[in-house]
Amino acid sequence: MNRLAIFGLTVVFLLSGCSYHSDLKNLQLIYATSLDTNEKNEIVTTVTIQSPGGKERTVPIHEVLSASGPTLQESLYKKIGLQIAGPIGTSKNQVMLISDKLARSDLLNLLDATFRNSNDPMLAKVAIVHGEAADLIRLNRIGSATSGEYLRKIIKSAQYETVIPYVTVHSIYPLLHDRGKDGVIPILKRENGRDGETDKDKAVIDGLGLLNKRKYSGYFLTPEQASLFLLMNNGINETCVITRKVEESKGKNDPSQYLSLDMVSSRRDKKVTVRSSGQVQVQIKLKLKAIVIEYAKNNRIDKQLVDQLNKRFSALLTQEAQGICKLLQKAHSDALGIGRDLMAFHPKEWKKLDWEKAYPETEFQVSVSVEIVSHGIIN
Amino acid sequence: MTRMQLFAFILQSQVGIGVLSFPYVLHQAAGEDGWISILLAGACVNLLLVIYVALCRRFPGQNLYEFMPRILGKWLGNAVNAFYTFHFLFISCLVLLLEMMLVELWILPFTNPWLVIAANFVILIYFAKESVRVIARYNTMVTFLLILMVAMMFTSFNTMDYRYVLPIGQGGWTAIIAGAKSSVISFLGFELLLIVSSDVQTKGKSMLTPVLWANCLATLFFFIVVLLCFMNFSPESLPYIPQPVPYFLNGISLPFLERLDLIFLSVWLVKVTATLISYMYAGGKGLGYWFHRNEHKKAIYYLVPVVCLAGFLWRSDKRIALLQKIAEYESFIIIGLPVLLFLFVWLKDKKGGQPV
Repeated sequence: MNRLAIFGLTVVFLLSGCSYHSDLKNLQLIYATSLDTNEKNEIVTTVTIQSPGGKERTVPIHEVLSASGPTLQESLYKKIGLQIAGPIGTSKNQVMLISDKLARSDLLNLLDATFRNSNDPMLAKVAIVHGEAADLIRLNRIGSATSGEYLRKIIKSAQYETVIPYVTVHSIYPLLHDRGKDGVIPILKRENGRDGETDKDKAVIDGLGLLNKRKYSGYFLTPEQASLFLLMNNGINETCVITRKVEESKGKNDPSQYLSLDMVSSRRDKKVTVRSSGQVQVQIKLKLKAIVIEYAKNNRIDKQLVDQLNKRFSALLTQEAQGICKLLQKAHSDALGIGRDLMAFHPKEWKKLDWEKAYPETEFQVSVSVEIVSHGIIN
Repeated sequence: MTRMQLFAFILQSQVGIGVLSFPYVLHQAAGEDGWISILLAGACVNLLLVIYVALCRRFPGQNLYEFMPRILGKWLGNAVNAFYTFHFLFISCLVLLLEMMLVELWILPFTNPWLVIAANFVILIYFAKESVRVIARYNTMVTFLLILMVAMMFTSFNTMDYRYVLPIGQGGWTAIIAGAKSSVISFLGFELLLIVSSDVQTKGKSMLTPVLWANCLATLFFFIVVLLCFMNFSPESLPYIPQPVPYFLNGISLPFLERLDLIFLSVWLVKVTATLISYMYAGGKGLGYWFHRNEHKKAIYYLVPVVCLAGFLWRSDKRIALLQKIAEYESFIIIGLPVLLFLFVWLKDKKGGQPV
């Protein structure tokens, strides 16, 4: 009995590995995926594939493949799967790029195949690309990184600097369902360099795309606006440097007119009220504490100047913040989550409200106040 | 079995297969107020446990199978016993089936699911045949994993939004009660008290304290898990995510660590085996009482293969949903019956066994 049990156990443990095996060395790992659309209205998927290679420590080889089909499943998993030698491995996918044309369609339907599979990397970063998304995948190697790795790092560093929020396949899915809040997705674009050697083509962050429910609205915030928007929405990620021209003088443009502030803390108060007429009123007060990191004017920074700069910078940012809210309304994108506030704090009014119509007529009162708390090691 | 082991035994039987989809189930039943339902359900279960303990105290040294014929007479008592045995075996099958399904969905999508059955087969044969002391010791050991599970849930607050659960009480009492009703199946496991009560050495102290603690802790665990999931997923998205717990963990990226869901699920699998062993033991005890002079060991040897045959019902969401529905209704009878029995016994003032 005992021997039989031991034998049985050994068989179960040793042979269970034979049930299914997929060797890492055979896997063709996708590192970046882009989705475009062609004139037949099909989805064109372009991926960069990197195979782990042999034993020699060489630079990883990567190749770009492309296929088209009516759905993501068809074009990516099936048709690209047929083009490569070996099983397709999606588990390493770092970025999911979507061209702006395609992003204007229902994203929930578009990405369904990715959402549905637990083995697909939910942490792949999502971005919209102005222009053709495949162009970014086809980028040549920059440094030692292949394009997938490179794109991921670009997005990651922009997140670090509070230019774009943390957006992954995983985080976007619940947002696309959310009725009280619309999502935002970073926008990338390809910038052409002068030549292939010294000044290569590269990818740059082009801002923050505003979603309207499940679609890209076409409106977007510039990277400067995006930072301020993130301060209004989530707060500082790791660092957040805002540079503005604080002095206007005609004709010349010189470093002394600019002030760079590193935001060290942010506090936001949001108050949403509903008037009896049904109009929604939003009050956002943003309080920022900042350190001067550049103010090239040959001036000693004293208390009086600090007050002056505080006022000037606050006024500038307030104006910008109002502009952002206007843009959000124009895009019909409730990225600040006002709808959720209404649902949570004014449920009765929310039921009567037609948010589709009420949102563009919402009154935003935004004020930003900046307080300089330090000016570095020199005055 | 000491009182501490009783505590662990009940807690482990309660926290099991249901955790993964509990927030989803609750949201379907009670909407955004589901988290209140848990507290209500926990309180109800506590009340039930008080009654169970009172019932068991009237028959010291005897378990449900033994005192049932004394209360209801030979025929009816044995019929009820058969029903209880069926319940324990049925839940074992269901747990096994759900485990198979969830492992395939989340952990090993390409592996033959029968291997899950094979692994459980070995564990059940090895463990369920042992005495309740051995099982309880195992349960005590894995109790500490609960801390790990909760800690994993607390690693990310990025997507948290407390406004998702506001305003509190929007669905009204009917929704909360509906939620409490549907969460009973996740709380299941406390009825095993009726089976193991005879083996507890209370040393003069009450059996009530450890079981109430166990249930309170289970309630707290469910409460934390559900509240975190409710605050992470908007009420609109929750109906689309049937297993919110691993889904939530899937999105967490720690330095050097991703796919936290896989780690959580690995721990969770240990919990599921604990539940499975407890139920299998209870089922074996039932058949052992009739056919093997209270030696459940012999019954386990043929019961485990039979339960493992449940694997054939696999790969049909519809079938599993049907089985779950059956389990829900059948469980209400199972947990409600002892209350009636207690009333009956109390009114007739029946007592049995040796007086304490």
